[in-house]
Amino acid sequence: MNNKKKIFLNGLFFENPIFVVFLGMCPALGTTSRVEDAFYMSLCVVMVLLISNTFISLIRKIIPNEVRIPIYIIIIATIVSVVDMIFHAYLKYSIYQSLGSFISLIVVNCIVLARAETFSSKNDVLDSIIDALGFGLGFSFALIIVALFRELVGTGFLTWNGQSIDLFSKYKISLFSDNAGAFISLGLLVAIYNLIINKIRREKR
Amino acid sequence: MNNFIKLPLFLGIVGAICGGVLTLTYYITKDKIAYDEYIRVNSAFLEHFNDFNKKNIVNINDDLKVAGIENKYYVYNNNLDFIGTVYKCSVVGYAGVSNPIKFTVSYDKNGKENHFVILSHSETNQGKIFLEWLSDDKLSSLEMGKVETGSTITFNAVKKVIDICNEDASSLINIPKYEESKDE
Repeated sequence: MNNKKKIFLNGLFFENPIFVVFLGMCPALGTTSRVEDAFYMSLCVVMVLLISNTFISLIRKIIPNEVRIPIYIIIIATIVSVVDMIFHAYLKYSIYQSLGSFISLIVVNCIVLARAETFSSKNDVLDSIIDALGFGLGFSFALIIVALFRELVGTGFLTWNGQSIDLFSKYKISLFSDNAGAFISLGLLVAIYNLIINKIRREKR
Repeated sequence: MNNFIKLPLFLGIVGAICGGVLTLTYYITKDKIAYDEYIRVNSAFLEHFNDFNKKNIVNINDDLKVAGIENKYYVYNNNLDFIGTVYKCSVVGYAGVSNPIKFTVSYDKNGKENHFVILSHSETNQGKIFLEWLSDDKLSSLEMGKVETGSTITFNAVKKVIDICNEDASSLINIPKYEESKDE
């Protein structure tokens, strides 16, 4: 049980894909101008990670070693296409449109392929599911934190499902909602996050 | 079995299973996607005519284009009977050239003004208040340049293009027939 908790917390905090390992940076920069977009992007990545990790772990013993990478890519691409079609059909069109090509780009998202190659191909199904949840939620946590920071500081508003709340639009710094602001916000948050995580690690030791 | 057969065979099986999953998902979602797409593309027309089914795009002359009319459509119901004309317009208001006011105005089959719908705008202050206040009946009763100062530019721009649409719609003589080739 302790091992499973460790696997989960590892992905969620100590090896957070965005703040610590720097994987999946494309959507972290591209879909974080609004919290709503970041939430649906996170949902998409969690779904893909969960299904791909489970499926790859299930068939890990029959996959020939020589073709394992092409097989992972085929499986991940299929799952991403399925999730893309489901999102297109059942998600609000404006949100689907704002996520744009980032959904398709999950195919080449390093988090998904890295978890398939380094974890689910070597571990049992339950551990792979826990790992997918840990890394998926870690990715979601980072994406939503960045989006929250950018939307609040960059616009002063918080928007969800077409409803906006004006929190402090008079003091907004528009730079943070622009493209350059994405890099600056991410840099700042990475620094703060690593400061906290390193402190926790030191205390643990 | 040697690798020469085994590896392509395995890849082929995985590819076939994935293809099957994709096909199944496609058939489950395609109707919903097509329906949503139809509503999205035609929402402006459905707002004007409840019985809207098909539309034909109409060629417009340069004068209309310069005035701010982007497209003109003849609209048909389920029986493909002509039910009216819709003009899609884009005019420059107080917010400037980079933020045009986009709207549609429709006329029934007799060329009478039917409905006015704003699609998008970035007007602020008086211009925004004016557009929110504006409705079908108010539009026809107002005269150019005789509105509140802050919204005059926006009002005049909208009024001018609607007057041109009025004139064009009332000049329709023959009832147009639906043509499949002009469906957009």
